[in-house]
Amino acid sequence: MPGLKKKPSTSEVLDWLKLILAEDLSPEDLRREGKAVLPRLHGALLKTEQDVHLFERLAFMARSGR
Amino acid sequence: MTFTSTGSYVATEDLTVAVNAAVALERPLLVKGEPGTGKTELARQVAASLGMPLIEWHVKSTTKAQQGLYEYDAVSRLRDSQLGDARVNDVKNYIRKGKLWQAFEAPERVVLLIDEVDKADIEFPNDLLQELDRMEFHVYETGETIRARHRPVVIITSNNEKELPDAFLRRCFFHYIRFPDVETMKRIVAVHFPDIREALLTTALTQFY
Ligand SMILES: Nc1ncnc2c1ncn2[C@@H]1O[C@H](COP(=O)(O)OP(=O)(O)O)[C@@H](O)[C@H]1O
Ligand SMILES: [Mg+2]
Repeated sequence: MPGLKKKPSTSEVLDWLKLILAEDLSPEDLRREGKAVLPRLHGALLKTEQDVHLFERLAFMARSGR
Repeated sequence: MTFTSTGSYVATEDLTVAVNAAVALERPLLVKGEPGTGKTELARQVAASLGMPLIEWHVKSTTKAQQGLYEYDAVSRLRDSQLGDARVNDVKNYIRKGKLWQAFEAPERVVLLIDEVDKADIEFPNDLLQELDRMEFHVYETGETIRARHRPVVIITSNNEKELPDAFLRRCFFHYIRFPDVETMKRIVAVHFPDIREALLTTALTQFY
């Protein structure tokens, strides 16, 4: 994922997975949302509003490009 | 126990997800947003809805991280020793507990609000990393270690006046409160003015949406 102001670190990926596991989400749940919206529980991974906006724009482009 | 909107506060879906995720992870929740987007109020609402007392630490430009732990009043102690006051023999009489200490020693789990963290200098967040991570600190004057009896729910707000260090960000769950969309704004207005007429509200809001 290029262009991020602050790239997620290992500990942040682990935090995120911990939340996903706690919610008992299936791979389908994650895939269904896919590129269409921000990753679920993205606050564990994205730590600046600039990065959140970047993801949103990419998601928007992915949606309109379909 | 989870956080939801209350009768006096409108929490959007993504905000409630963020609060509950931070609580589950036992990470501080970092809430950013323009002034007036409800960051300080959020901490009060989280405390009320989780049924926990709230300890508020309002940060100023001169606030140092150490003040959140404790302050040692050497001047008073010197004065007392010159006056022959017996209190001087116990250094504890001159230690003033900070907000973190109060939160750590509380008999029940509390919500600790560190409000407007970006007001202080840039060392401030980094200086608190250890204490917030390990939930303990050392008091050199007395040799005690203060450990949290119950890990507080920590809510940190920022108006975005300064960038926060990466090491600090890494430990927080992040949420940005954006300016509410029309529907959210209507719900917020309804909370504050339950009797407002729909037509007036809609016209008022279209003035700037
Ligand atoms: N989502 C909301 N629901 C209800 N009231 C809100 C909401 N957001 C802001 N307010 C109101 O706006 C005012 C300012 O909120 P505050 O928490 O002080 O903002 P901030 O700390 O972000 O500057 C408060 O009186 C609060 O009642
Ligand atoms: Mg405030």
